[in-house]
Amino acid sequence: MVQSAMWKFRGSCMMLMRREGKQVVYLGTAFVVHRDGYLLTAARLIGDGTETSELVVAPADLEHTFAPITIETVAPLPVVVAQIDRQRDVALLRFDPPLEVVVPDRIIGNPTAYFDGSSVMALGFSFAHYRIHNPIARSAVISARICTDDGTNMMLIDRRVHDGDVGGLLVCLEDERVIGVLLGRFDPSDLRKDEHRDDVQIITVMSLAVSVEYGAALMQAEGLTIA
Amino acid sequence: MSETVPQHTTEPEEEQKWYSIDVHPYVFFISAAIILASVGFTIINHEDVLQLFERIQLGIAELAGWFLVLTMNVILVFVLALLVGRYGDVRLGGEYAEPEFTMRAWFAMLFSAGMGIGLLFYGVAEPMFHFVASPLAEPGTPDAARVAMDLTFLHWGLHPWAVYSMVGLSLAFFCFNKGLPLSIRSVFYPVLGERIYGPVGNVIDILATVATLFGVATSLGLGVQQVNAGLDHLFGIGQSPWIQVALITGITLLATWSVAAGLNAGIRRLSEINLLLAVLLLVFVLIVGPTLFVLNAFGENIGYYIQSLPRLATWNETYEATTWQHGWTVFYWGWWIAWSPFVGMFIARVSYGRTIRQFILGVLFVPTLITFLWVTVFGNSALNIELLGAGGIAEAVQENIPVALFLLFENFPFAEVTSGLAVLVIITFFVTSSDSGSMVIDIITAGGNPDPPLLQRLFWAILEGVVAATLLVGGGLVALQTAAIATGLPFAAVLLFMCYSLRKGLAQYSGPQGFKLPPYEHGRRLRTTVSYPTPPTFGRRRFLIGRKKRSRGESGGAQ
Repeated sequence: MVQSAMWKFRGSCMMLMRREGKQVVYLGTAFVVHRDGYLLTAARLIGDGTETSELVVAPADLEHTFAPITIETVAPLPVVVAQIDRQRDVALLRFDPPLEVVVPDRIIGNPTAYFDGSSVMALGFSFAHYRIHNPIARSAVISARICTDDGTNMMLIDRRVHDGDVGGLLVCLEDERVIGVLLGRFDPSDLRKDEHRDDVQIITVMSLAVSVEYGAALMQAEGLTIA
Repeated sequence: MSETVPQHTTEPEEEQKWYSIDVHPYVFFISAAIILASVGFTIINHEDVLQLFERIQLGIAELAGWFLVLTMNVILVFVLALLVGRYGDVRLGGEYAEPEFTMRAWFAMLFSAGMGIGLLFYGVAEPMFHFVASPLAEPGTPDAARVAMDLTFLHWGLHPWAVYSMVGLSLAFFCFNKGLPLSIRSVFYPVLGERIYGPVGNVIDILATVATLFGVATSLGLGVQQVNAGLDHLFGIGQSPWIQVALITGITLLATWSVAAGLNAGIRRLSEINLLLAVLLLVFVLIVGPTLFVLNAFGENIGYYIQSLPRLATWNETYEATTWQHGWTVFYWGWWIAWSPFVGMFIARVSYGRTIRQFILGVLFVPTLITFLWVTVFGNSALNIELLGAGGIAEAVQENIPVALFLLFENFPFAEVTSGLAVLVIITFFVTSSDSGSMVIDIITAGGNPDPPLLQRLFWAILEGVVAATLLVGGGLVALQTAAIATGLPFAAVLLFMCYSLRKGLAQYSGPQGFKLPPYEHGRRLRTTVSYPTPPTFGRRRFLIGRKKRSRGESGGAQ
């Protein structure tokens, strides 16, 4: 099942970068969600909007069975922020100039339709900060679905994701649809800011993803049909 | 905060004003122009036009009858294969789509649009025709009665509903699951690709619009002549074009109200009332008629139909060298095929949220079973009178089909009640055929918008009545109806193409799919570089960064 989901979404997964002169600096993962050239990612990767450098994305090397670890130079595609929801930590990007992408028929899932314990796949460029430019898939299960104090629906999964995975996609393996946007590793103290003690470090192997419903809301606000 | 992810919906995105216009410029104006020009030309030359299309239809029956027979069978097998195959679980509108209408409302609308008025008259007339002029048995014998029911079942049974199922399924799938417009052109997307939005697609939609309008309008025009004959028989009101125009006006006003009220408030309610009245009439005739004979016949007719279906469905009169099929089976196949864009489109519009298996069970088998019950109650009641009673129905059918229906009722108690109820059912069937036809044309000419603005709905509903009345008074109803049926042959080829396209679309939908970027201008290549995760994640990194900062006496807390 992971194989099938990976096959479906590997072309969706892009490296989100910021252009700095003749270089690109890796920020995190973004993924295509609409044929009109829209991508979802984590809002935290975008910065506060004051940056002047250009946001770009670059696809992975999908031509080789055993892809080289590092892509020395990329031909990036410029993107702009179409919609952003900083409270839920989700952003909708758009290719600029516009680009139509061939996409599967079903992309966005319904996180309320699955049970805790459902199998999922996390996909992102885990180590692209260190110039390891391979999309990496991990299988996991939904350990819990939680609602934070500010009313944000999130999912905990029983696998560790890395900094490069932030903005990546969480796919339900049952129907191969995206149900969440990866936000990174999970620390309970982050969710209980008022109560945790600074000297207590809680190390978990779990990770956090925000429900894709907020991404879907951004797509709707942009006037897109959700498939 | 929403609980569910919004899915595709057939509801309009924003409220439209009644005077809003949302037309596909080419399809709307060219279709309207062709319709008006054709009506004008036919009124002036209706004899010539009639002769021309009669010759064409005769030629189709003689030379291409085998092709229509083959096409109908291919479509039936294709639909049955979809029913039992792996695509049966695909839900129209996506996995989380919920049906827009209840089962009762859905069946009511399917049946009212799909068969309607024809069944009311031919439920009695067709078995009678075959009984007195049987192609496969000694006329007037019990064997001829059995064959008559069998042939009627063939013409009104699984084959027409299979065609409607296939067209409806194709339209619903490509609209609700692939996000294409609810329009005939969309069905060809897997084969034609983006060209469906160009001239080829425009031509397909214009042909569908013109054929649908002529099909519905001429049926309305010819049908009111029959209604007038029936009313004259009952109440002695006489028969004249002006009475018929008045009937068309009344029916068109009701249909216009229904279309203007919308699918849910108008067409659905009217269809439910229509079906309720039809069931009342059916039960009433069953009770006051030869109940036991009809009940015995129902099972026997179905059994005989199943046994002889492969033989009759593939029969081409090859060894008899006769032409009986030209006027019956081939005519019916051309008729159903010509009507399939209209009925299929309407069925698609009301079937959002059903799985393909539910769709086929609902569209192929349930209406077929209701049709069989209807034909058995009315046809076998008439046959009972011919075989075991006073007779006279067969003779009346030859003279006047609608009058035969009322003559049948006169053989049973409470004839006034049944006749009155039948008139009511006839009128509501007319209205439901007319409103669904208008709605289909509205959708196609609005570029596939499932909820076109009110002004357009009014325009097409009224135009349909005006065309019917004009042709009735000026002449040319039969000519244009013949022309509409003659489109059955080219459209049969289109239907086969549609089967291939639907199969391909479903295979793509259910098979492995992926994302693919188109070729794009690369521009300058940029070097990748080692970087560090600037935005901290939830968890340990943030925690550690905060601690380190604080330990150095700097402002703590990551962003």
